[in-house]
Amino acid sequence: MSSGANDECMMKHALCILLCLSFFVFSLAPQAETLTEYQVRAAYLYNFLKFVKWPGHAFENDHQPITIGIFHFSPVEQDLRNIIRNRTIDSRSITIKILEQPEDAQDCHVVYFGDIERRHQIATIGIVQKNPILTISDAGYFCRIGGMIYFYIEDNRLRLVINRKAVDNAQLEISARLLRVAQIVDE
Amino acid sequence: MKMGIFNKMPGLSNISFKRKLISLVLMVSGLSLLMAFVAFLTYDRIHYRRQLVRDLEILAEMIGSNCTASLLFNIPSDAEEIVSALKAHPSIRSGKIYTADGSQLTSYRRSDVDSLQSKQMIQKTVEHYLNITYIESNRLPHTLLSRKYHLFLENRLALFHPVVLDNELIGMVYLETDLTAIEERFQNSITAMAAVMLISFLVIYLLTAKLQYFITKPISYLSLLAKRVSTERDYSIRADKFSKDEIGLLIESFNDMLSQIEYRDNTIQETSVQLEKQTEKLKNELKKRRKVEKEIKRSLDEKNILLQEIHHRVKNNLQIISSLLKLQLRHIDDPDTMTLFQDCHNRVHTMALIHEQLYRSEDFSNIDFQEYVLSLTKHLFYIYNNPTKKIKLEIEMEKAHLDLNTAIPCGLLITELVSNSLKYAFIDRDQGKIKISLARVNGAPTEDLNKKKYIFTIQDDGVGLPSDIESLSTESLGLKLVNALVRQLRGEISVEINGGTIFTIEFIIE
Repeated sequence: MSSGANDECMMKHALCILLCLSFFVFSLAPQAETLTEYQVRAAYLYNFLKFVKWPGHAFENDHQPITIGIFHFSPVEQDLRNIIRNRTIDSRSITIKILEQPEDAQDCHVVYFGDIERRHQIATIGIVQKNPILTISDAGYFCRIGGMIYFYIEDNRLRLVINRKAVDNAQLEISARLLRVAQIVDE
Repeated sequence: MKMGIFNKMPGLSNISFKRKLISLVLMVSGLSLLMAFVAFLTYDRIHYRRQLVRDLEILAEMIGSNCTASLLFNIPSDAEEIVSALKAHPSIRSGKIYTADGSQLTSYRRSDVDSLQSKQMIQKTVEHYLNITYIESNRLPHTLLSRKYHLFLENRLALFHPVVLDNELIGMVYLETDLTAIEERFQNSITAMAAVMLISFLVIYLLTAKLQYFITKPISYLSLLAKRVSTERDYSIRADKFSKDEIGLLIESFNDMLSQIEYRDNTIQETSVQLEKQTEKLKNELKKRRKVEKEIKRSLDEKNILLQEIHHRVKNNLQIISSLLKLQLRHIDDPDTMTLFQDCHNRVHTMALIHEQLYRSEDFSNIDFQEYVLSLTKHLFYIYNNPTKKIKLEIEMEKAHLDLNTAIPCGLLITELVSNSLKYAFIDRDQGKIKISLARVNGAPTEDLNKKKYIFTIQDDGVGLPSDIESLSTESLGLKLVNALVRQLRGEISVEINGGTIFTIEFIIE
């Protein structure tokens, strides 16, 4: 898929999200205010973490924060920062790491591939795919290139695709409750 | 002793002790069972309601937990699928999932439940909890979110349960169940308890009917024994002691009482026999005394007759003497001799008059002196008074009964002094007055009360005694006799001559 097609796809998703904003209410924003596309993405990102279990060796200790890696200049960064502030997952705080290059993702626990190019995504997945690092993207090809969670909005509803093989290879555990609502693929 | 309960329950007071005991045991047991059952049912009902709330909470928790992804990623279809599993619970009427902002994500309703009923229940629950007017519009008020709440209403239970993930509220689960299970359980419990109560009653009755024997047997035995004692009046009967409890004490007391009654009965019988003997003795004594009394009376009657006879004869003899003197008088011409004979005749008549009065009266010891004086003075006035002269006789007698020893001297004193007055006091006068009085004088306080002192006065308003016989120590026969009679009375005489003659004689009768 070309970069232009990718952008087009992303735009389409963004439009759908914007259309559905008034109907979506998340736990993070109980007020019935209008959410931006990036706020919705950031909320999804954060919510995904609640259904994932990392293997013990993924953390150096019990207090080590969960690190979310996002690539430089990602528009979701600020919203994500707002969401994770003062929040914990399984008693672990959450930090954001700005990734300059694919190698930077190795010491993260989650990597969100936003609007970056496909080649960067492939390169990064190639580096982290054996490590317990959850990879998330809203690109339609994401599972095919070895990514783990692909999400998008369709008919005002969230759609999820989870690459079980990739998840298993990374020794991650995704809650059955999330799996229930997702389409499972083995790529 | 107060037996208030039996007075208030007249039905109980007339039945036998055995039935009374059984009735009381059954009543008390029944009441206890009933209270226990009511307490148990109440506890069970409360406990079961709590249990029901807990069960519903667990169910809500499970549903909420399964719906976390649906809630977080807003996937109503998944939530609907989860909630539809409530079909497996036939008592669940409806269920709803609300997101964290209170909007409804999905809902379930039992096929037979009307949607309006379901809405009304939510509405009432919210209103009851928040005390506000709430119109259900698929959105819960923010104030209700994150709180557990349940409400029993109209045989239904409504429950709101928050769904929390990582300490964050992500939604609310609403469940509504009917309480038919509770009612069924309640009905079943009542049926079971009624059966248990019936069986318990039967068992209690059978046991009481058997075991009451230990209590009622000694009482019945004692009762029969008391009846026997009462009927046969045999106080020698004694009850056998069965035990050392209150019944044993009662039997012991009963025996003691019988012993006391027996002892008293024996004593009464002995006393009665003694009294009968004494009565018999007294009767005999009385009989003897009556006999003696009869003899004494007969003897007294004989004596009275004899006395009467004696007085009669004495009177007759004196009357004969008097008549002889009177006959003799007709042949005497000498006036002095005639006077002597007349005086003798009067004196004898005076004594005869007394004996006549005595034998006529029923009392031979005392003479009604007033009556005697009247008869005597009548005779003296007949003999000596000149009818042409108006000599008035005045008698002032105190009611007095004198004995023979006093009456005869007094009578002779009247004869001597009145005849003397009639003969000499009114010689040259056509009228005059003779007064005879007898008065009792109260003696000094120191004197013996049995002694009666009398003042006997004979006076006239005539010429007075001649100067040659002023002294009472004269040799005149009449005055000698007067002095002799006063001595016989153990009295004292005085004479006063002042416009007449007053003889005053004082004497004492014991």
